[in-house]
Amino acid sequence: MTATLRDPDTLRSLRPLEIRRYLEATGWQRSRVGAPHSPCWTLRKGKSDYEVLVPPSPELRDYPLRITELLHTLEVAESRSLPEIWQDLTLSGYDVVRVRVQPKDCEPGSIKLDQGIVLVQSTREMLLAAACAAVEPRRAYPTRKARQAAEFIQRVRLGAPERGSFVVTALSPVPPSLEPGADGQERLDVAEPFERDVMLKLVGSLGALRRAAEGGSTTDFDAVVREGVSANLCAAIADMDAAPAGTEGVEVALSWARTRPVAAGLPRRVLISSGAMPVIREAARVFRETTPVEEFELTGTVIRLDRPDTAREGTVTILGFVEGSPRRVTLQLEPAEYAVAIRAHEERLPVQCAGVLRRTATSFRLEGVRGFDVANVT
Amino acid sequence: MKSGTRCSLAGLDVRRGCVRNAHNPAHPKPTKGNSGPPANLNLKRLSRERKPRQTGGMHPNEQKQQFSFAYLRAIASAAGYAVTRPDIDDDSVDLTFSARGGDGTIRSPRLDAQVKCTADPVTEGGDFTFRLPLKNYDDLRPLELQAPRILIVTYVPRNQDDWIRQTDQELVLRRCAYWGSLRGQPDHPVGAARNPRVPVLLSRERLFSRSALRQIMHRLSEGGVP
Repeated sequence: MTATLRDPDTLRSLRPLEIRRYLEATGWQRSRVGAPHSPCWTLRKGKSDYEVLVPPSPELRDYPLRITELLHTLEVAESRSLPEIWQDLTLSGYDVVRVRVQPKDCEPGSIKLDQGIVLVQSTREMLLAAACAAVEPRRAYPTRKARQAAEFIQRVRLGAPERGSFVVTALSPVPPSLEPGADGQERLDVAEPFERDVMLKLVGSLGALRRAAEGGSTTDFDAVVREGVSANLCAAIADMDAAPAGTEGVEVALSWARTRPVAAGLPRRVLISSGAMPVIREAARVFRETTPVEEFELTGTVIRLDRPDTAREGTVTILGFVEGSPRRVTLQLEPAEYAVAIRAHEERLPVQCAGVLRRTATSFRLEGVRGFDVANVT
Repeated sequence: MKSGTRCSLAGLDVRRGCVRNAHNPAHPKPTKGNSGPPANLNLKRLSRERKPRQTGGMHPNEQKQQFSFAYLRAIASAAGYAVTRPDIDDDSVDLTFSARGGDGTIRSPRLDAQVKCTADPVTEGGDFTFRLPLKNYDDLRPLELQAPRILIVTYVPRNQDDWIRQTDQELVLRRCAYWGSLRGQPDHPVGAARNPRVPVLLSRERLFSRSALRQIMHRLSEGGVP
């Protein structure tokens, strides 16, 4: 037994519910003696009968001792190593996403540091894209994400690296489903919690993305937006593949929290081949460029004023920042606002406004302009 | 409650041991090259303490513990129960008695035991008193346990040569063990002692025997207490 599994506090951290769900999922049955609340579970395997005891509360004085017995029996009954069983038990409250890449120029089990950073960052972006899609499917999401999605990503944990080709493990805690009542009935009509919605959206959108990439047309990609494919998801997946010598592809595997079972038949892994990446990267660009940004706030300086003699409205060009780069953005202004623009231009003052930002062939256009005024520069 | 008050039962057994053994523990053989202790040493104390012997380097306390484990394992196997040594940093459970499941795994009922071994039993009205360290006492009292705990005290002859007797007909392990349950016992005042001990009374009727273990395990499987 490894050193950490002799430590009573570590053993106490394993919750009875996690153990019970694990046992349920691996074919153990509650002992008929004292059912349905019997702490004993049994498993018949070939000619062998095994029994484990699940103490009802970690507060019990001998809880750690009983857990070591349980672990030992699981080790024998399942013919698996203790660290493996321990990991499965302790992750039973998490949906686990494993992103696996195998760069062509790397040895298994390691990756270039810079690539590792990109991989972790892309995993975050992928999960954030799935969370945004779970709130509302869109072609692209702006930098400022929906509150629910932003809160979700704060709860996701980065797991310890696993053996094999390089794997980034992200752990998303999900609340356990309630255990069946005394009548054995589970409530199936209740909506899933948001955390689980995100994972369902992730697995659905990755499958859809692979289909769209096989089709390869704009129509194919447009058709899967409602399934959760977005510029952000495409960019995240394409970035994962960005090793100098290429990779063998990106595999995203999902294991569902045992404390909250899912319906059978859901895909557990999606492999996106390296060959599909150029199409996916292009889809990200097209989605991004053809998607107006709602609630865009622009700040910049007036660099061009244009109003024909006969017109009421004038067109103003502002040099401001879009996605971190200085860009020219044109907008139409009513006479009063146009007058403000003239004054700002003469006095070399910055201006600010908000609206819907659209990309045109050569520049950006801000529509539905609101709150145009001289910027409050402190 | 000093260890000097040697009980009659213990005296009987030790005497029996002495009769059969030429070596008297009260007068240890002088070792080679050592004609006697220096004059300024407490001779009385020295005579009571056992001189290091050819014991494979094992400390006498460790020896007692291992001997008592072997003794209890012998009883448990004869009763048909498994004995495991907890693989955890918990010093108040030395052995767990249980039924056997598939491939040597353990199954209910389970009984945890704190095992002590002494060569100096103290009697009180025919029963035994054992001075248990307070920490062990406190670990044996709680009700909030999944498996019940008992205290087992193994008594051995003072002379290690008397611990076993072996012929081609039998192997005798000396002497015996008594058990008791401290479940639900009250708090014991800590006092000023550095290593406080609690006198625990063990009934002479509670010999830890094959049938006693079977009865305890039967009570546990019926949902009872030891």
